[in-house]
Amino acid sequence: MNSRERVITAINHREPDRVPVDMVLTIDVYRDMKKVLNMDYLPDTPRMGRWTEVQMPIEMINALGIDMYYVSPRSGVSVHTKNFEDGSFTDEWGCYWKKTAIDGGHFYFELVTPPLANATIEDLESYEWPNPEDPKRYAGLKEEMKEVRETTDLAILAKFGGAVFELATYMRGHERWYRDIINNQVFAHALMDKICQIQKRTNEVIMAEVGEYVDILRLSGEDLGMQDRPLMSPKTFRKVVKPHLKELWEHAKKTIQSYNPGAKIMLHTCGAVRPFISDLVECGVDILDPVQPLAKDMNRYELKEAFGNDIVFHGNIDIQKVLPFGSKEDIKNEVREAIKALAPGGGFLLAPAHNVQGDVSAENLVYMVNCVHEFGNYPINLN
Amino acid sequence: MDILKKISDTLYDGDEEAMPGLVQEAIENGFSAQEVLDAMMAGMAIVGDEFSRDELYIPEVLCSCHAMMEGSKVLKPLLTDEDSKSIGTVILGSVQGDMHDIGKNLVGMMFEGRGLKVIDIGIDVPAEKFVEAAIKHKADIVACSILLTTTMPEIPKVVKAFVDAGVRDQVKIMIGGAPITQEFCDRMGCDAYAKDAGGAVAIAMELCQK
Repeated sequence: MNSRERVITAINHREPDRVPVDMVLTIDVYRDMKKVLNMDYLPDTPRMGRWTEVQMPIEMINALGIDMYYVSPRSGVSVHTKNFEDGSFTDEWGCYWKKTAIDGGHFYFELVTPPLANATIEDLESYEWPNPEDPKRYAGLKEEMKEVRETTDLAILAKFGGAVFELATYMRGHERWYRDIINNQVFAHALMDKICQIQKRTNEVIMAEVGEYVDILRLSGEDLGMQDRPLMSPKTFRKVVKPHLKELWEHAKKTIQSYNPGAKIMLHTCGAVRPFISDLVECGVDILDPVQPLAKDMNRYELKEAFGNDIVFHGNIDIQKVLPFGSKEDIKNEVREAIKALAPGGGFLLAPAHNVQGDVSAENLVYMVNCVHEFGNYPINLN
Repeated sequence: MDILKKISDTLYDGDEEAMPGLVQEAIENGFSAQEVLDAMMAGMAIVGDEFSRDELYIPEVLCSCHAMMEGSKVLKPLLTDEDSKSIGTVILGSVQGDMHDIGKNLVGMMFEGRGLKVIDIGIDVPAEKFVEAAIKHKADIVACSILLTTTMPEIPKVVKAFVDAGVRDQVKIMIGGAPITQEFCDRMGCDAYAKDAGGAVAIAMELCQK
């Protein structure tokens, strides 16, 4: 089985030859990985996204032995977009992302100035929203994806489909927005509806260009969980947030499947999200990422038992303790446990439970992949 | 309904808009500022307890905290020096490299709701700034918020800065945030760890009474 066949088999809830594996690296880990794999000739700074995640070159993907190619849309341009000398930038929605130094020479982009912090419902009409038709967003994308499809056997995961709830959080500011969904619901609905309509059209435009190449459409992150509890009550989620996400996701799925009928949609939602999983299934989500293992009520065996027939799990290798601070033995146990719990019957794509941050050594990641190649062969027989 | 009960319930419900009017009404009906403040704190105590028991979620708690703030604005000019004497002073900040403030703000508002004086020195705070603020405000507690595994290495720097300044024994250092554990707290030589905002309040009250 090649990588793409392996991934497609797994996401259709059947057992492939081995558990598929993938990962997304942030810039610091990527540079470390270049050294570990002796690939000095690769670019030092490949294309990088808002979360400092990089487009991993195909040579590195092959050398690592992973099965998926991630592709992101390009940045759109609006009246708000601006790059600052210190590396900070304002995105097309008007959100200012400050380049922030982290111990050890690393950096990250952090949201500091939400553009709609003081907006009223009337202000939403006059705000300068991004143009969903902007061709800059998909410039060169078709060529890139066509080349990957024709020259590799990797599955293609497209990180299109912008967020609604989480983008509203960025535009309003976390604290203000969380109060809005309780005490200012008319505004909350108006803001999410405004964003949803733009995202739907953006999806239509990008899919028309490249939809045929997409195996998995990864919906933009809608984090609904904290470490120790969901971000909001299931009641608030169902009443205020879910109707907008359902509209976006059902539209995204219908759109992508009109170009590739076998394509699946994946939702990234961090943290303790168990109370929402049945809602996600109802909204048409096929694959759940990142199945954060240390978050509350995210026991991998219980999740497989409860939802294994309805949703595919992606991620699940702990990046809060095991990958940054654990021993080789800890990594081996984590991989074994994840495979033992989630892989039987298919429906599991193994990956670190988030974009890998600079505190994880490339060596640990190589070891993680090696463990998958060792324990992840079907039929799974781990006791 | 008894106006004080109504204030306590409205605080629990997080109705920020209704709170100033209710506080004003209670004062006009002859209740003292301290009695009204106690009613708000009673509502806040229930919020804190239920949050600790995982029965409440962040959005509701934030609304209650803001209702408390709105009510306090009306009360502040009416409180005597004796009324507003705080239980203790806390320096609060997110460590350097960490721009996250929602957890910090929540802890700060809940501290204030329980009668602690809070000096919020913001986000992305270098270790020395914690020391400067602690000395300047004669703080009892320094509370550091850390959301990221990548900013955890700031904690030993904060502890060292207090040791270097010769004031480590004058303050209690509390830490909290998603990646933090009791084991990490102990290993770094901090005084206390709280797993959530409700726990932080209980521990801070205890530390101030020591």
